[in-house]
Amino acid sequence: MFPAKRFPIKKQAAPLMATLALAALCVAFAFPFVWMFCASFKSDADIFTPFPLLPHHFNPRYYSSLLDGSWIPYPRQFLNSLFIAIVETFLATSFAAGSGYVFAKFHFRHKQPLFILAVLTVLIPRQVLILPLFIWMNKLSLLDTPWSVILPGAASGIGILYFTAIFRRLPDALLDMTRCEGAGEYRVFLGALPLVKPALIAFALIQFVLCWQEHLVPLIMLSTQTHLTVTVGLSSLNAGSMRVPYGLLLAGCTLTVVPTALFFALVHRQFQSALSRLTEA
Amino acid sequence: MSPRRRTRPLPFLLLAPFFTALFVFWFIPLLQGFHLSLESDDLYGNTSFVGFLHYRTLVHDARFWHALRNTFAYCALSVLLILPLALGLAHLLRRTYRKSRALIQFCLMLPGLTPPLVMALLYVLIFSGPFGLLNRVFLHPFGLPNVDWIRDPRFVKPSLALLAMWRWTGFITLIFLSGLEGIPGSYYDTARTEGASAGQLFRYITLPLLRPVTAFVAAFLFLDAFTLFEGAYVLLGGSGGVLDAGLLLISYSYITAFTLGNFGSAVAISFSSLPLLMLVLWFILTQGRIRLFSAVKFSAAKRLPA
Repeated sequence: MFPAKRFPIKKQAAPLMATLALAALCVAFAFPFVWMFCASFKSDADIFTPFPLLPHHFNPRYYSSLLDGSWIPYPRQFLNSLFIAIVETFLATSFAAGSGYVFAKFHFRHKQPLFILAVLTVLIPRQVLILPLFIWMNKLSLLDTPWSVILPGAASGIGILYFTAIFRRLPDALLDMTRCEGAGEYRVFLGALPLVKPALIAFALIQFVLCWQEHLVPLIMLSTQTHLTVTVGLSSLNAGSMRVPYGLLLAGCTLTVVPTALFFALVHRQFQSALSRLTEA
Repeated sequence: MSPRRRTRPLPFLLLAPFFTALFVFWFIPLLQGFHLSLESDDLYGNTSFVGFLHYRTLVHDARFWHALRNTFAYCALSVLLILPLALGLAHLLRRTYRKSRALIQFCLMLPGLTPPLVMALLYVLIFSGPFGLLNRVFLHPFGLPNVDWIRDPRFVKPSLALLAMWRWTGFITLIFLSGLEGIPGSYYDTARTEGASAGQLFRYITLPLLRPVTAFVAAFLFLDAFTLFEGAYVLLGGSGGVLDAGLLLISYSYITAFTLGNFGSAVAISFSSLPLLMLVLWFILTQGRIRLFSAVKFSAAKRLPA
């Protein structure tokens, strides 16, 4: 189509340099995780000698002592984290999707101030409100229950912005078609949900990852060992006065990556398609 | 029953859960927090109203200004590190490496899927003292002295920014990549037939069209850096580090509340940073021409009978 420009050296060198830089970056980003995984199986003496990377024989002793809960109630904390992340993700996604649908498709009084209010929650994050929230949760006697972590995260202002934009792109004609066939407004909404499925999945993924990683809120709200989330449990293990073997810490860390990595691997195609649909001109 | 009547309750039913949650777990704490910041309590738990005393003390509190400067420097540093890198990566990945793209993306995303606490722990193991992998593998064999990357005050803020970069680059690259794929290829073809160079294509097509995405991402990163706690918590053990080099607002507030036991003053610390935070976010979002308050202005919306 176009005459190839003749920069023989540049043409050869630039892609090679780019590939090398990219490979180096990938290794730098992922190597600590590979090391963490391998080191969690090594003997105590070998943990801090990174090469050879693979242990002489895989010894899962730290995994078994984590899972039988002799150091901290790890399985229980892992389940707590899962419960909190799943429920919070479900609530935040459904609340935001419902409100976003209404903001995009209906016209009503006081819509503007309501929308501004929702946007303000983005600008004032709940981490800034954590101390009054702590006292408020205490008054509601929700402190040290999973709900004290879940409920403040249920109203996601960013979710409102996101789903309003998503539903605005959904043609009204599609909704009117279902209306013509005699569906009530409720059925119309339920019928619209599958049409934005990638967006729902993308939002749920981000929400799940952020909930799973949350540290400050559970650190302040939860206090009983068996009620902690896995990140807070691990940090108490790290900061505690007892000498914890590094292998145990690394084993605990390795397991925390599993749920989010699995979720991402499962839905990453739909995640990307949802994002590119949003940015389309 | 006419269909009109049936349509009415649904929008409010859908709005109700969100706004209930917002009211109970955002608005009430906001008001209570403000009230709390106007009070002072003694050791016996008696509270007394002190007005704006806490805020007035903060004006003369050198540590507060230090923490404020640290926080905004670290936020700006992490945004400025991540954005160009992620944009460059997305540009590189867009046309090339079709086969290995999934693997590359997974490698880059992995830190983003990990709790920051775990990353901070790994970071400590790699960077700290004589046991740190970095010192062991790269400095010892060449006879170089140990560098204490974490306790040395010069390296604390770059360390935090590096952590943020490690965590978010892959994710932001993915967003930019999707943004790039949303730009119609015909724009580039037209410009190329008119003789535009690769640099011009990037400057006059890619950058302007990515503007809203960039602004959104920048706001997200800024907000995340601002609310990040666990990095500083693990790296510095909940204190400000040597010479307070890593003292962030959120850790200062945490220390004031839970170590010094002064709740009113702690709330005043986090609240007095709010106007500045909102101003910065506002500036970033308007730069991207994201119209935050435009929910009302579209004609196709279904009008409810009043």
